[in-house]
Amino acid sequence: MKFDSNLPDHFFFKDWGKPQSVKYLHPFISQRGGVNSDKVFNIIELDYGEFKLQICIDNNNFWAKKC
Amino acid sequence: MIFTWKLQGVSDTEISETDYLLFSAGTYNSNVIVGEFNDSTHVKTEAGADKSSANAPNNNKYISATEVSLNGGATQDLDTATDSDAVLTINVTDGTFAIQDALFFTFNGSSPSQQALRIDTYSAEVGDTNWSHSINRTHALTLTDKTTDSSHDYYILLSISPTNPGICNGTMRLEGVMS
Repeated sequence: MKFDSNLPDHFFFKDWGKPQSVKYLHPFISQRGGVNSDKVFNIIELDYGEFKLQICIDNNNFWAKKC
Repeated sequence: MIFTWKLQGVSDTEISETDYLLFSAGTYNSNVIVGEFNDSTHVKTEAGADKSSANAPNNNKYISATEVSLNGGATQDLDTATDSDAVLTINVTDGTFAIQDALFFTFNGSSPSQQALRIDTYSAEVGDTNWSHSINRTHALTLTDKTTDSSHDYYILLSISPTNPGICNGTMRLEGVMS
């Protein structure tokens, strides 16, 4: 998930009010036959009912995606 | 999270992070001919030892888009295979959790979009009616979501066919999202 304000489903963060629920998602990778070198980031998912906002933070980088 | 990969058989053989799942013709290390499918499956250690030699490991052989041969048996519908027939099982543990959007596929080990070297891969989750041509992430086998529990098992049928002569190798990946 990469933030790009030019894409229609990506937005700058703004106050949409309190989400209906907040979920912590933990993507995982397990492999055999080779060691994984892909980075995996935890995601916070805010459910606003009509849409969800997924937020991912990696040090100084911040990604947000509306889905 | 703890992931335990096993080759199922009369006794299961754990596939550790440094082991390989080896697909052969009739016997250990015998070559599968280009365009044909595996007649035996083994766990090979990094040092080259046959780790599953005493365990009578399962074999799943692709016959057609909807058919399989289990352990050298007659052709049967893929969706009649049971959990214990699957060649591969992956157990996931980590407290109490659910899993969604899990995928299984093979690739070249460096880029999930790239096919493994000289290998065509077909996989299915037990209960599936059709094999998935899971040669990369785009064509991955989609696994069923798991509801909240402390331990989850995936049962996967797996069969390969060399596409060209030479050494064939690749990486198997399970990925998903825990919540």
